[in-house]
Amino acid sequence: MAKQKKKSKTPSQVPVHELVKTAEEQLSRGETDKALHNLRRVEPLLKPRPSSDGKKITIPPHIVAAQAAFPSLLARALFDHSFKLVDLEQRRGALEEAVRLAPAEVRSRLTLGVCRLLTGDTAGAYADFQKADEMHPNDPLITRAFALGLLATGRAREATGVLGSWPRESRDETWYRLNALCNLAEGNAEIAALISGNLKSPFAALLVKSLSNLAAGDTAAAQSALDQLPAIDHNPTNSEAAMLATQLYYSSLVNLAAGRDKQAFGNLREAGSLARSHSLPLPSADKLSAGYHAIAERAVTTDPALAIECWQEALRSNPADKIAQANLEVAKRARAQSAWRAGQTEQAVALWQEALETSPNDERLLRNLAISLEKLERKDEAVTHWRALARLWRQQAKQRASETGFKDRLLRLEQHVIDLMIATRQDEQAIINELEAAIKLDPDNHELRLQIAEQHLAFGKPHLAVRQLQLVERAQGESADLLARKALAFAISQNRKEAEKTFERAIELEPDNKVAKTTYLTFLGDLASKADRNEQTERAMEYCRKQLSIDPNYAPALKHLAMLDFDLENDAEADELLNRVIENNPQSWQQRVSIGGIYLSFYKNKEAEAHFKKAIEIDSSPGCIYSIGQEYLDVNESKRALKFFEQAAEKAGMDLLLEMAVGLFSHGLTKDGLQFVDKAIKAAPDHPEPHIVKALAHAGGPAAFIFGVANPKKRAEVEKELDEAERLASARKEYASALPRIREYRERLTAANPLRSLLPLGLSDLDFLDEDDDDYGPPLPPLFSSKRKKKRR
Amino acid sequence: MNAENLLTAENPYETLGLERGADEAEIKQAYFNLVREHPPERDPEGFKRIRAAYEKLRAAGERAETDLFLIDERDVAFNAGQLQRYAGQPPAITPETIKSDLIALEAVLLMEEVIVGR
Repeated sequence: MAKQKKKSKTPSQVPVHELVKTAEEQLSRGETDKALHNLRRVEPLLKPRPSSDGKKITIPPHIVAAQAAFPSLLARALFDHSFKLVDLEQRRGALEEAVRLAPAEVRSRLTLGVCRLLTGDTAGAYADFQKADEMHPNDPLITRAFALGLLATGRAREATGVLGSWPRESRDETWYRLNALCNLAEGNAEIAALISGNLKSPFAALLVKSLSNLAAGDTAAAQSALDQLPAIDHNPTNSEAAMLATQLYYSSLVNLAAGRDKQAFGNLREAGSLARSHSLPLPSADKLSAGYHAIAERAVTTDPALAIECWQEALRSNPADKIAQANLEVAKRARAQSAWRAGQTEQAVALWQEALETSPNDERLLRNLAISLEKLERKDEAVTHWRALARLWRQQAKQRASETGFKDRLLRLEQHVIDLMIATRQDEQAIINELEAAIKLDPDNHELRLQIAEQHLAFGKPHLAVRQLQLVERAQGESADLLARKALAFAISQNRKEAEKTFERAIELEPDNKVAKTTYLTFLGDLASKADRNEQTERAMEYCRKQLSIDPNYAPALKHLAMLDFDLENDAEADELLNRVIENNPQSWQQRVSIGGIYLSFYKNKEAEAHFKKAIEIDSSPGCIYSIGQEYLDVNESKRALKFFEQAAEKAGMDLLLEMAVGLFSHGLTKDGLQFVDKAIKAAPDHPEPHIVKALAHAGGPAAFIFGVANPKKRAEVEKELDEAERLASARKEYASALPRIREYRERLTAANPLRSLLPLGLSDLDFLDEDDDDYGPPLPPLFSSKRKKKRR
Repeated sequence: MNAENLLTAENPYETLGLERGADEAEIKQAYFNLVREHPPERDPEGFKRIRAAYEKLRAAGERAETDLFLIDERDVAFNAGQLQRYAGQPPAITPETIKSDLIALEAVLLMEEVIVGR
């Protein structure tokens, strides 16, 4: 059964006299807020009320007692509560109510007088002090207050008289302070300065001396006293803090008058901070604000950083200061201007970014930020601001149509935004959206439309590309360039027939068009390869011949056709085709190596060796020798491959050595590969790349990212190599770009599933895992290329 | 010229001694005046700079690109006219303010004593 919720009693359920008693107890425990709350609850219930028929109600005696005790209790609670209120007006309100409830309570009246004095009601303050003095004529505190009231209302002589009646034996520190004050008020500043010598408290002595000197016009003496801060070995009491804050405030004014703005600001800030930390209404917020504003207004052009600090402090002392808020924005721009002038672009950017928060559509800010961020290589952030500027300008396009150069600038901006979005690999759809927004603005911009088509193609949306290309075609008429692009779009969308037809039309229109020719040849080459893979030899040959009809010397077609002829044992025809390649490129070692590779894959080792020999005669560079080794590796002749690799390694640089290592790794020759990595480390000891490759070799290749390190014992070595790679990449600016990759490898290796150790598979058995397969997360950076092994035919 | 080059290039308006809002005729005039002062045969380097600056401004497309990527004083300058003056009295040191501040201080000290003694 659900437990019934216990209801708290409402005031009408709790006996009133009990609540009053509780409040009294709470007050004596110092729980002022709780007591005040309870007293406010019973307040309406204790008011004498007539019955509904107007007859007098007989009140029970315990209620009568509660009614009698209530006003003084509430007055006490309000008095205690008033000291928790920082706002002087609120404090004054609470004390006024306390005095109304308990007029004989002299402390409330005295404090109310102080509040009135601090809020500018000097006459009211004097009346309170006078009343208090009448109630307790011989109380020293009240006499002091009365004298203060007289001073505040301009009756310095009477105040002096009150002080004179003070018994000599009880003339203490406060008496001397008031005496000095009376003298200051009567224009006897020199006497006041002398009186300061009787003050024992260093806080009071320095303050009275310095202010008396100031009033006497002796600024130098005042300055000297103001500059001396009292030596203390304790945290200042509230009274000491009040005096110190006043001294600092005057220090600030003197510095301000002398044009020492920084010192003036420092003093003012310390004064404000002391007043805040001790909850003192001194110096008043208005005075602090006036000081901050005065310094800031003068510093904004010469020292905008100082102006910023001043207005920030002004806001701290008064968060509702709208002028400080507005000027702060202007000062930030001034600071940004000087930072920019001094070449401190990062600082300028930070300030402009702050300013942009309040003015998000400020054209100058957006442009300054975009340009500067781009300069700082923070291109992703630059894109955001460029895009915002483009949006803004698009919205203004109609209004600003007549502005010279506006449209040109906008179009240039659109182009730049798109280029930068592509360069920074922004979201595909965002790029398309940006392009489409740009084309709306300039529908006849065919260049832009072609770019949209290109983007659609790049993002695998050929049908949308075709639509854009058709729009351009409609406007500009048919051209080989356009047709080639359209054909490519058809090819990507697997519409082979339409692609072929369109390519044919492009070639027919302009037989020598380079774009049309190149794309068509590539397209036909793909078809030939596909037919070959499906063992449709005749069809593959047809495509090759088609390629040769477009370009009779097209080497890839000649070589492919030769391989097909070898397949059909038409060796003579094949030899002839390969000879044509050589005839067309007699000095190309690359063609020699490639043709040697073809012979090698058909067990024609002699012919292969002859071509390799010739290749080395043409160029004995490590690159050429390595390529020959790679051909042997591709047909699994690893011993011969290694022989060439070692020969190449004698003169090879780091890149080539790593290429050989990776080639060996991808053929399962890890041990041999590692030797080449070590050679690469020797060749480039400061470079992080060989260590990255070595780490991944130890990890067991790319599969380690999915299944964890192949051999757990190697984990330490993997980490060691990644550590070294990170150290080297951090050491030199030009290698810093490797850092994200190193960290990514580390993260992925840590997150990889260690299930691999449970799989009864060798590393080479994991080849079925395609690196680009979406099921295994985002594609990994290419590491060990999984080059398809050439099949011996 | 691409954006990257523009980010580091010198300000063509400054080179030609022009305001950012100069019109086509002013640009042309400034260019010819400067070329007269720095003919290629006498000052090939100076001429090269002047010519390069002119190239960046002569045609609408180039000028649009220049204007888009150029930050100069005009772009970073803050607008002092936007500064608002504080309405309150600026702080001053007079015997009167000293007196009233000391009275206020005495009032605070008095209140502190009441608080401590309550």
